[in-house]
Amino acid sequence: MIFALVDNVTRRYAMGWEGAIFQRVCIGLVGLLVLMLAGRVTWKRDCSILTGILWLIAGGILVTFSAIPQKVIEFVISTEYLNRIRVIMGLVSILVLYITFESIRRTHLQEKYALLWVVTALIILISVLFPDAVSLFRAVTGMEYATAIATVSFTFLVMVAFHFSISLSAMQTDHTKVAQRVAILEARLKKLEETIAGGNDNEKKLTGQS
Amino acid sequence: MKNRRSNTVILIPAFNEEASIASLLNEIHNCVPDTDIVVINDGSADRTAVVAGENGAEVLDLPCNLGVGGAVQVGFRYAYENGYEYAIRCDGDGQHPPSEMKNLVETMKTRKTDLVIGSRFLEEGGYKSTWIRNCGIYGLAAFLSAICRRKVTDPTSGFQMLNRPLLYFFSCVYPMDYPEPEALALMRREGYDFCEVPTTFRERTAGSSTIGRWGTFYYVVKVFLALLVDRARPVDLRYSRENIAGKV
Repeated sequence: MIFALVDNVTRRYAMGWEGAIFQRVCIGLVGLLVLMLAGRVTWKRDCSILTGILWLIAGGILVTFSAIPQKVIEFVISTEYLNRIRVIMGLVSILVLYITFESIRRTHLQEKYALLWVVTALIILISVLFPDAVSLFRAVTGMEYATAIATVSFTFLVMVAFHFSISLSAMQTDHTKVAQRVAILEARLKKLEETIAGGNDNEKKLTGQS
Repeated sequence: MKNRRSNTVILIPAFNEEASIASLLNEIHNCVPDTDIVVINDGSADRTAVVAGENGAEVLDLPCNLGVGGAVQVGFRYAYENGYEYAIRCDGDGQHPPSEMKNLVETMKTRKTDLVIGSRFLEEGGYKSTWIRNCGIYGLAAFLSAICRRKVTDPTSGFQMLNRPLLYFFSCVYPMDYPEPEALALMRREGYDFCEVPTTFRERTAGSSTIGRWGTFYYVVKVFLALLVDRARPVDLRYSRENIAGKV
């Protein structure tokens, strides 16, 4: 019943796709703008290449989206919706894996912090490749595929966020200690410099007298 | 290091106190002569450090802003590492009158305790503040008195004198933001003792309070939470009064 309803709504939008010229042109123009800006910034090296590539991908998606012909839309909605989710989640997990890998490679991210991200992406990827594994989970918990994926992702994201809070606290403690030590050392250094300067002056006086 | 002139050091945490620090330092020179003064510049944006240095104070220049707790702690650590027997802590905004420091010193000598606190509320009608802040301080004082088993009237006072064992403890363990009430509870658990002396505080001469109206709520909630969590921690015997007596 609900599925039929959802499908009706989807179908209505899909049928209207061809007529929605204005909206499609707008989306396409925004996409082109994003592409242009991202290309320019990346070319000038004002941002990291990774960020640039992500923005380029975003722009590309917008442009392609505006240019999708009616037939493709009809084909997509004719497929089973489970497969669509699998494709999207697969792309997302591959993207997460790629970004994590790239960040480690560029030493933006330490391996220990990356572990949770990699595990999250891998679990989603496994669930995409082997839907049967999820059906076991579903049999135990009674959750639908999409809900299960969302739950898993959400749980891991919360864990990652918590991990961040903890490492941030540890970092603040360390940074306090370092700052305090720097201040004490600086005071000592200044005193030492004064002592040395005083000693030199005395020597000069002595040699001047003799 | 052997470059201390006195066995007591005066620690002044200062954040953007360029306007009031010079007169405060002069006043201290007059009231308690021949005492080393250390100004802790907590990452000020103005010329606090320069002015303090010109007025005869040692300056600990923190490279970034750590907040009151971090700034005071570096002072304690400095005092401990340089072999001072006592440290007097007083704020850089001129609220704590240097003329009252003698009271702290005398009480420390006669009572032989670890910490002497200058309290605004021990005598009647000395200090006026907003009612909401008074409520917060009163609630904190009642709770702290209960868990410390000592009467506390002014738990937020930053006008204090510490002896060497406590300097060591605080240079290892000190809360970061809004530290005074929590520090009291922590030191009591380790077996240190404190007492209060009545002190008349002045109106601040320049600058503004670090805690605004809504900050008071946050202050009280944060401190209560910290006090409760501290109760749930085991006592770290490494820093306890008996353990480090005679060692530092």
